[in-house]
Amino acid sequence: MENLYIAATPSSPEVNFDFAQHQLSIRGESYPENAAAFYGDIIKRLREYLASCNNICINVDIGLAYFNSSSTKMLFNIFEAFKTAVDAGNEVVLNWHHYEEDDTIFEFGQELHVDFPEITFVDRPVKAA
Amino acid sequence: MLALEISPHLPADCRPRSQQPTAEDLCIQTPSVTAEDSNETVMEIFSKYRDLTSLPVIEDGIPIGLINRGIFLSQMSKPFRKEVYSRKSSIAFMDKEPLVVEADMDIESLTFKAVEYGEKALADGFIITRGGRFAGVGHGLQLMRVVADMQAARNRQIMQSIEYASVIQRSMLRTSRDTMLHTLEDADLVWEPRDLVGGDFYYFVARSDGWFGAVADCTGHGVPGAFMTLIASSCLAQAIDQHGPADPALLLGSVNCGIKQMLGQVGGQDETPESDDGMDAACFWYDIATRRLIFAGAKTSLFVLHPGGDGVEMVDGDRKCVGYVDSELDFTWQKRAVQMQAGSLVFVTTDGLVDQVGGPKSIAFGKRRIRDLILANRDRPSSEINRAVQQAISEWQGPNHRRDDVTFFCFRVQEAQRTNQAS
Repeated sequence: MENLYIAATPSSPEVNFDFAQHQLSIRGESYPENAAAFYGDIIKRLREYLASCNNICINVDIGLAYFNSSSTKMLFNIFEAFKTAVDAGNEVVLNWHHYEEDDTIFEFGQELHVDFPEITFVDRPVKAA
Repeated sequence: MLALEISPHLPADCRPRSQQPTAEDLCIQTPSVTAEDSNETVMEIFSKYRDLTSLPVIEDGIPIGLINRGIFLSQMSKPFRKEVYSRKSSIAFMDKEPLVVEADMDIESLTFKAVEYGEKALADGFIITRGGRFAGVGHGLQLMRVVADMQAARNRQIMQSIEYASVIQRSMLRTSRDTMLHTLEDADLVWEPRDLVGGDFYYFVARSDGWFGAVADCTGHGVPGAFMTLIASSCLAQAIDQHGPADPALLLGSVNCGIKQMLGQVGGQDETPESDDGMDAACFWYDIATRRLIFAGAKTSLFVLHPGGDGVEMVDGDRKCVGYVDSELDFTWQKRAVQMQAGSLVFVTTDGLVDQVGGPKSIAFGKRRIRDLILANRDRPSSEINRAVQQAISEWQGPNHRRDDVTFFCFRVQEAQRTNQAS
């Protein structure tokens, strides 16, 4: 399966889905004018990949400093897809990266943890240099 | 030299407005030579027309090349060149492959073509033809000017349209703002759309026994966000007409159904609806007699600071958005009653304030800073508290740009509420 790479722009994150290595990452900020259009294909590709996984440990890195509410909706669709993959017998480890003092992103991660207990959630606070 | 058929050239501003500019608009009549003309003639023409950067060569009305002044003159100034080439054909130093475009080519295609062609087309210019026959020459600088004008015109058109939309959106909000200002003695509301119009809105209604307030953040910002505010606020107005303003949870439920129905989010499970839009909102009813604030929130919290209280309390709403495909049609939001005292401060904001990126590490402003600001300014009027928040967010934002619409509302419970409210 071909890997998916989308370079970051000021309003959309870098998406680096290395399906071969089962390493998926989304980093940057997310407030594209049309979130559904930006994430539509990404989610489609992700679902195809997840459907092909069987007893696999998938490592996910998410480091988003900002995401607007329509992106939040899309992120939830991504987490739903992970949940389905876990239910199908895979393991998903979600590394939630944020600056240590960024309470807002930290709290969002905590809520994710509660909402998606199937996903192995790892809080990854980053100490500012 | 050939006699050229050139139709009278219209300057751009004479053309009908609806017509998009084309290569024709850049077409400048210029001297030309034929292959039979000698380099001596070319030299004469370049000496006569000092501004002429390139000279087209025409054969039976068809352009065959372009002579660049700089190249021609430098070639001819070399030793013995004049003697050798003066009597020879003008095609000796001609560029045989200049960019040639038809007069009806639109400016956008021409621009891409010129850029693709490289520096030569922009520096030397390009030949414009009508039905394959030579019409004139266009220049890179002029092309730039037309592109810049077009860009400005398009931008102006969009901005004027949005400015007009902004008048409509502000008018819609004015009644609520007036109600708030007349009903509440110590209250202040900041509404800052990111781009002229936005997805945040507020709504206030006064009754003799209390008042209703809502601060909401619809999906998106800009024009789509503003569309959503019209839908959501008319759903809210309808719900208040139907159920009265005293049960904010019921109103959220009613707006949820309204949005879902209006945007066709109900029905077919298998078919994904086109719209997955909705809103976050705080709705509250203040009951004057009991000094109780009845609050229902969709992903929105209240900041409450009682007089003498140690810290700002958070009253969280439900973590369920209003509207959106995955909010159930019959979802019931919780009603939370908060007992107020004379002097209690209430602050509510959309996520635009909390999430604004800034500060030394480019991270979200966060709720803690808001709580600190309320505490630090607790004895000041709510308008001054809001000014302090505005200043703090602007400093936090610094050189970053605004990420979202921002709306926040602050009020202080009065000793004895005024009784002359709207009936």
